Amino acid sequence: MTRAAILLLLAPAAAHAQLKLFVGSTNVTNSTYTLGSIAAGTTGDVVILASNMGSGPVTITKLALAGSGFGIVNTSSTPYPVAPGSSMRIEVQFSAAGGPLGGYNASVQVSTDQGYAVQVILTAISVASATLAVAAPCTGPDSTNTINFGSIAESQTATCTFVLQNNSAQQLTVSAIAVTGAGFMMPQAPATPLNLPVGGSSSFMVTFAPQSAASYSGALTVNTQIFPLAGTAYNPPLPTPMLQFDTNTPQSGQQVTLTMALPTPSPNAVSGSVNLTFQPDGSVSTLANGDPTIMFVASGARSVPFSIQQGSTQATFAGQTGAVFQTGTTTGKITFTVSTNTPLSGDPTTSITLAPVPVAVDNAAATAIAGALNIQVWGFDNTYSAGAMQFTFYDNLGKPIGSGPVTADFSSNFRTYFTTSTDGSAFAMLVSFPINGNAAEVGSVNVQLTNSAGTSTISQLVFRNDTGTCVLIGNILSCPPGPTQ
Amino acid sequence: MRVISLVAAACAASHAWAQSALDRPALGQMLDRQNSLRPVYGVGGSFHLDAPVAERVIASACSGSLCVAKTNWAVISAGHVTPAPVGGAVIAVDATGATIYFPSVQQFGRWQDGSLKMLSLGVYGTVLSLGSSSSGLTIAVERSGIVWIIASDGKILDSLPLGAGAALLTPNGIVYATASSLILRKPDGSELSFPAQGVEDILALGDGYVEARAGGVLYALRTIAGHEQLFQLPQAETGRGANERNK
Repeated sequence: MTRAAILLLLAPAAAHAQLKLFVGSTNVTNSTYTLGSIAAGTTGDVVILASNMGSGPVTITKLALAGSGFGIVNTSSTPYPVAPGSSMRIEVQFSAAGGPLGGYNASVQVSTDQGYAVQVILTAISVASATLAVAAPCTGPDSTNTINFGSIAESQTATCTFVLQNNSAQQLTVSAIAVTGAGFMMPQAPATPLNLPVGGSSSFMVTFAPQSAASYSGALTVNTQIFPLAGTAYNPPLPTPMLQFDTNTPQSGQQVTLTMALPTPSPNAVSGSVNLTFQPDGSVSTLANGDPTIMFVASGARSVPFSIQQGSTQATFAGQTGAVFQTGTTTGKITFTVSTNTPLSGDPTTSITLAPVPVAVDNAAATAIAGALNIQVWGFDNTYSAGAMQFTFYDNLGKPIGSGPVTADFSSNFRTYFTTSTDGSAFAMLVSFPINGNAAEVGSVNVQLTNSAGTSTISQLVFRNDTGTCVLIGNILSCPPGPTQ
Repeated sequence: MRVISLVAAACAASHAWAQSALDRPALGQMLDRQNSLRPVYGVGGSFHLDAPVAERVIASACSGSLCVAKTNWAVISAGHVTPAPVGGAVIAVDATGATIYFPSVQQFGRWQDGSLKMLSLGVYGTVLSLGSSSSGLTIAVERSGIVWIIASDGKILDSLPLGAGAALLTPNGIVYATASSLILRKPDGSELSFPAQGVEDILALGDGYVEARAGGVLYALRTIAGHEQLFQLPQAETGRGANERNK
């Protein structure tokens, strides 16, 4: 203990000094403060406050540390004026790294412009300690002695092997070993006291089992040594969802049910949304206006919320197992994506292509009124290229009238209509043929509608007479039959 | 054949004789989840809703040319607001007006051109639906758990199976709900069944379409012969995006 020199250089004026030294709330002025046993290879820290307890200012003119093993690691430069009630902070660290085991002391002396100085004697004992090593997946100890378990999925477990080694020249006794902190545990702690002979070692397991996504911290205590433990947990990725449809060949003008399934049970409860985007085919993109009829019906929008219960492989949409969407009335491609706060194992993006088709006729009616034959067609043209038509009229006996079909081209009408349409390519068309004489002699009509994808035909559309008005006779309402087929 | 020849010759000589008009395909009006009445456009399976034309609607019925709705205090249609008995209503729309039953006063009325005339007609049972047709007024009434279809003179015309709930009399047949299905009984008596759980109310959406309301799902059943199909009606989009689109 040759370094255990006692330094007592108390200035006479210090007895009434207004500058006092504190560690925490303990007045250590002109006395001794011990850091206790410090494991070899580790450090011990103490913060000294030089506080002005008087009513007038005092200036610290000099700081001096004498002794081995200790060092001032952080403080202010001098001269340093200290107002009444204020302090100067002095951070001192003990480290016996490379030095022998045993007792150490040092003095910290604070001189003032008042002609006196105060001091504190710091003592510490460097004791032999075990060296800790960890195996993968853990890393450390690092410069702060921290052992890191890395990042794992919540509800999963990471187990690491810890090894205590005695690299000193004397036998070590570990009298206490413990793990603290939520998420960390030592399933089978070594029995204590644990004697480690010179060159000997002992291993044990420490597990990290977080229950929810967060950052975790704990500590492993070996005698007086403290090894911080760290780990993070994240939401486990969702198995790549599979988006499926109730038809293999979706077409325009349909309602299709989308389902979302997982290849394996969901590791936790997940919610999010399935979103669709629509890209009109290049041939119609200038007319299609994005086709707002393409949407999920449950939300009336292009996004629909879903949820998956923990352990389930099936997503539900507002309690339903599927989400119905409208394919709209425009040729193009609908792309489905999945949004959720939970990471996905893979990209579930799926697309369907809506092929161009001939004009789809939803309904049709032919009406004979005084002076005209009216033909109404309700339908859609997902190519936005309709306009060319042929009409073949028949008499009441089914014989063609005239020398052949009547042709017409309403392409410009359709283009104008589509430019402002908010219903995709859906249309209601009325074609009126002025006529002189008895329209009732015209029995039916065949209509051919042509677009860029082909021709569709309405066959034998029967003309009906104009509707009259309903008449209330007493309590009986009498109405003629309606015109729609 | 003289007239027919004229038609064909005229059309062949000049296409200008044939006039074309294009418009949005209007299907009728639906009652959304917020009890707002919204025009429905499009074709079967590709519906598009417009902004509400009436709110706080209790009942509604539409044909191809007329929609009539009932609020708590009035019958409204095409700019007309006609004071009416308080509460709900059972409405049948035809080409020129509507026949309406008011459960609160157990009275029938005829609404036409903004005027409501009460009818001296009474029936025994709970009126579920009315049908106006050229053959007169038909009424679906529930009596002791059984739904009967009767004429205005009380004559029984038909009945629905035990367990039938909501019902609607349409020109294309009778639509009624069971616990798990929506049934269309066609005029020839044959039936088509469509899976639809928990339908609580059935309304006339427009010519050839009825709206069936079930929990969180609104169905549109197409009833036109040969085109019968069950669809889902879009919910009205809510929030900022919807407001911007409706401007």
